[in-house]
Amino acid sequence: MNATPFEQLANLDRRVHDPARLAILTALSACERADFLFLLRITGLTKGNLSSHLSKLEEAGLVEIEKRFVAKKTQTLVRLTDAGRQTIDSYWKEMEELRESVARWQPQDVVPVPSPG
Amino acid sequence: METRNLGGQFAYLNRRVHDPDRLAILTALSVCEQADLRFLQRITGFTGETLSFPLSKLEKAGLVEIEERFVDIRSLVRLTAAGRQTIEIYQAEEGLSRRELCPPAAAEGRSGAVPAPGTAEGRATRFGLTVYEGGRKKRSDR
Repeated sequence: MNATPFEQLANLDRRVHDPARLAILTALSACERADFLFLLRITGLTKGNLSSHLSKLEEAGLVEIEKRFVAKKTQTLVRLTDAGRQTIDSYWKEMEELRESVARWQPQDVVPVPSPG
Repeated sequence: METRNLGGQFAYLNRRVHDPDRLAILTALSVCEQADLRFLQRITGFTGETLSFPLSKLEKAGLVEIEERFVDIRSLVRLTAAGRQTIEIYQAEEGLSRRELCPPAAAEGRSGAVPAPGTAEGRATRFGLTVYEGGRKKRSDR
């Protein structure tokens, strides 16, 4: 039997589904790259939080972080890697498909099992 | 500290609902009027133990009600009114947050001409926002 949409929800990739990472990856998917302060603002995360999520996303190969100096200040630029873009795109695609299959789902789709006793 | 947020409300999504296990249960119950535990296990793919943990959390939070106190697989589970409202709000907010962070136009247009990446103009154009240069404006308008 194919997995029901609910089963698929329970098996979502938790690395991406985490609210903070979802916000970061989704924001990055809208642009070529973004600087740290922009991400800070748009995600509403704290500096420490954003920074730690970005390191984890970098370790996972989903984002690339580039630091450079602009007017003697460090600017941190973040972009999605190809793998990162693919990951967030397929996450949202899956969520859309799940929403549709939930809307179509009927309890009768489940084959009844004989109850013991 | 009050954080002014342009979008990206994911950070504020109801975590009680966002957790995949609970999301699966609430979504399943939102399309079934009520379900017994056996049926709920079958459609969510949880076993008895993996189901009872998130389910009891949801019950404590007042989002679902379980018919009997000493629960067996025939006990009926349903969403409470609060539970139904919560999952509906969650779904609406999730879509809204996504669109604010990644407007459909940005998603479609990103393979085409890209405003100078990383620049304030680029960001402003893509998000339809005023220009934020660095973090200074952010601090000053808090």
